[in-house]
Amino acid sequence: MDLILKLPNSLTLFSEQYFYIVCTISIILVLCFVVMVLKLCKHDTNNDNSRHSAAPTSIPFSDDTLSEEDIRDAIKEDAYKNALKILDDARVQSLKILSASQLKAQQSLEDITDLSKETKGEITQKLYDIYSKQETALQDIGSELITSFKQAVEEEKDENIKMLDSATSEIKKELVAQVAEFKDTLLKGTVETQRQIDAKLQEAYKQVDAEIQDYKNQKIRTLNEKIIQILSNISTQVIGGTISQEDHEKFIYDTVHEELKKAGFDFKVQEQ
Amino acid sequence: MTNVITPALRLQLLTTLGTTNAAYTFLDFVDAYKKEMYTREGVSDAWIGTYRDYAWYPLVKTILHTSGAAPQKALDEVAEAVRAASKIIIKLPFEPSEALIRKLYQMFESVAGGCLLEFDVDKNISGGARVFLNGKYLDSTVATRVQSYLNEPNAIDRLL
Repeated sequence: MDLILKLPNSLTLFSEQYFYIVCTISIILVLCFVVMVLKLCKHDTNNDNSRHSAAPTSIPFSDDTLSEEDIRDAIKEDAYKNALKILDDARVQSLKILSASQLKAQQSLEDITDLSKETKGEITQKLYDIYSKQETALQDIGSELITSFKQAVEEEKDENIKMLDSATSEIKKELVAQVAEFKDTLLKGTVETQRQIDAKLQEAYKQVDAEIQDYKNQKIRTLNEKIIQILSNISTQVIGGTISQEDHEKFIYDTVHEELKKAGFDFKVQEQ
Repeated sequence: MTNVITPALRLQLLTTLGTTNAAYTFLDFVDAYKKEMYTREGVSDAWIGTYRDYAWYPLVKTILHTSGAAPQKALDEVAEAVRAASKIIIKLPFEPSEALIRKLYQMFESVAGGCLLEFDVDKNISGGARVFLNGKYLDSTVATRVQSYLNEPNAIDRLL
């Protein structure tokens, strides 16, 4: 069965809304009806099942040949057929209701199109009032928005000032720390430089001290040599001038003999 | 053909010579003797003359006598033995006496065997002597001994 919805050619805002509302209500009613029918059908099926389990007289099969599953399938098939029939009836009824509601809606829309100019003026006035109210509301909202924005700006400003204060204090702390670090580094560098200077001075002192000691030793050695030379010269001059040649020869023989012994020479023949 | 100069004879000759001066005189004698033998076909007693006074002459006479028909060869061997003898140089402040020479020779002979002493008078040495022996230098001068004495540890303190 074909369903043709006859809609008006020109629909105003109200008529269109009214049409959709009616359609919706109709569909809801149809669905409620379908649900009720389904529930009833289920109830009947249960009753039939209970009856079949007690005395399955309506189904043509023998107790000996058919199993319980076959019986259950036959009951289900019977219930589906009944349900389909009920659904078809419900669909027919719902279409009837829809067509009636459509006619009613069309009639109402025709009534709406016949509104007088006075009514339109009232509507226009009402719309203007609504617009005015909306404008006022919008203005109120705008001023609220401005106030909120101002407040937000103020808050942001305060926040920024706080952040700037915080950043300033952080920068100050950082600067102080850097200055302290620089001071520490400078102090360390100064101490290190002083230590190096001290070390160099110590080294220079040591070097000078060693040089002085060397010079002192050299001077002492030179003086000793001179003293020894003077003493030896005096000794030799005194000895050479005072002792006799015989004694001198004896001295020579003895000293040469001593030197030979010191040098490690062996005397093979017994000396006379 | 056996050698005329035995080790004992060589040592005896060097001991008799003692110094290099005596050795030079001896070598001069040998050269002259050989020359005389060639030119005059014999050495006369007159030519020997003053050489008889030297201490080594009797020894040379013995050598010539034992050499028989080859006196020239015997003299060559003797001269070679004298030239090959090791020299010990001794520097002194004065000319040594014969007694000192003998004593020193005996001492050095017992140390170095057959050798010749060469005495060198050095007036710079005030006291003592310096000896050059087999490449070694022995200084027994008074100056060196005084210096070595003073260079000993605490020598000045000991003297003070």
